[in-house]
Amino acid sequence: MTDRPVLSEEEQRRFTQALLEHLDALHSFAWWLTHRREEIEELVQETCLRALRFAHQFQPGTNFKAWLFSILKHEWFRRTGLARREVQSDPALDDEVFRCQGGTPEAEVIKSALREDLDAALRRLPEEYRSAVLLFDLHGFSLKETAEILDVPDGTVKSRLSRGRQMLRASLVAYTESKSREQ
Amino acid sequence: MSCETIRESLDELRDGALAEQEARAVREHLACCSSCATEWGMTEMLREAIRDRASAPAAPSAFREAMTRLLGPKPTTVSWVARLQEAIRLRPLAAVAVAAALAILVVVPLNLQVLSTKEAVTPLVEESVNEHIRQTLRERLPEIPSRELQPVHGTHQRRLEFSGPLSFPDDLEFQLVGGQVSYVLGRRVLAVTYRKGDRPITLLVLPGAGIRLPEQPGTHAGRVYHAADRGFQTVHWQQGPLIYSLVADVEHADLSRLAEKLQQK
Repeated sequence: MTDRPVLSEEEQRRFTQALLEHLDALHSFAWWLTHRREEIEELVQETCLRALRFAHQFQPGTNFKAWLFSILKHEWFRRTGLARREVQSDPALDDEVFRCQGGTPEAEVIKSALREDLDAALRRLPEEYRSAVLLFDLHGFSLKETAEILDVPDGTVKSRLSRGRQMLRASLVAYTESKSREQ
Repeated sequence: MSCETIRESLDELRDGALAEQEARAVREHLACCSSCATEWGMTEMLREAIRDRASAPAAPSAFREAMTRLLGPKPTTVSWVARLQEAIRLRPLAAVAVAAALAILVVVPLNLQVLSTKEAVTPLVEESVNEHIRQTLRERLPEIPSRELQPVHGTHQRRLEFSGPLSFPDDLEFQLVGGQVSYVLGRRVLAVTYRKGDRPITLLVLPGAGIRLPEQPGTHAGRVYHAADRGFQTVHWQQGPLIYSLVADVEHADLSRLAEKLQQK
C-alpha cells in the first residue's frame, strides 16, 4: 500500500457528507450505463470508496460532483474497456436521422414524449453519445466538465451532443410514428 | 457568421462559455435566422423533456443506508491508550496498579491473544471491511459452492496467486456458504462466506507480502489480531505466507472461535 495523507475525523465526516449528497446523481448516471441493479450498486460503491481513498487528490475550488462523476466513468471504462473502443454508430439510427429531415412535426413529438418514450430513445443511443447528453443536458455539467469526465477533447463533446440529440429526436419521431401506425 | 458556425456555438452559448461579443453575435443571428432559431428552440425543448421526464432513479434507501455505514466515520482515535498515558502522568502509583490489572486481563480465552484494539485501523482492516460489505451487498450466491472449498478445487486454486492446499471447515455453528475470487489490496484473494445464524461472516485469504497487520508486523506469529472498524469486528492472523482476515457484525468471541477452528483445520 502506498502511503497517503490521512483525513482528520472532521475532514472525513465533511467529505462523506458531501459525497452522500451526490449519491442519487451517481446512482442515476450509473443506471444509464448499466441496467443491472447489482452492477449499478457495485459501480457507485466502488466510486465512493475510490473517492474516499483519493480524497487528498481533489482540488478545492473545482466541481466536486464532476470529480465524482469522473471517477465513476473511469471505473466504468476500467470494467468494460470502453475507453479503448471507438464509438460505433447504429445504422438504423442513422437511417432515422436521414428520414427525419423532411419536416415531421418534431416539436409536438418532443412536447408530448412520455417518460417511456424518452427512456427508450435514450437507451438506443450509443453509450458515449448518451453519456454526453445526460451529463450536459440532465446533470447540468459544463462542456469542459463533461469533456473531463468523458476524458475527451471539448470539440468531441460538442459533436457528440449535436449528433446524440439529432439521433434522439429522430428516434422519438420514429417511435411515435410506429406507435400511431399500430393504433 | 454562417449558420453552421452559429450552430456549433449554441452549446457554448448555453454554457456561458462565449465571450460577450461572440455571445451577442450569436443572439443577433438567432433573432433574424428562423432556421437556427428553430434549431435552438428544438434543442431547448428536448433538454427540458430530458430534465423533466427522463428517468433518473435515486439510490434505493437500503443502498443509501449501506453506503452511509460503509463511508461512516471511523471509531475515535482518542483511545484508552491516550487516557492511560494521561493517568500515568498525573498519578504514577495508581498507574502501576492499572498496569498490573491490565496484565491480568491479557489472559484471553481459547489460547488466542487479542493484541490490538480500535485504534489499529490499518489498510488491511479497512479493505477487509469494505470487501465484507461488498460481499453482503451481492445478491447472487458465491460463485464457488461450499463443496468445492473442502478442499479448494484446483480450478479455483489456479485463479489465485498463491499455492494451496486450502480447506475450510463447515459445522452447525459456522455454516460454510461458498467462496469468490476477489481483488483486495492490489492482489487476488479468496473471499469465503460463512454464516452464523442469519449473520454473514467474510473470511479473506490473501498473500501476506507487504501487508501490515494491525500490530507490529512479524512479532506475533501464530496469534490473532483484533480490530473494530465502522461497527464491524475483525480478526486477522498470519499462517505461513498467507494472511487470514475475518469480518462480521457479530461478537468478537464468535470470530475468535471461528479463527481457532480455522487455525486447527
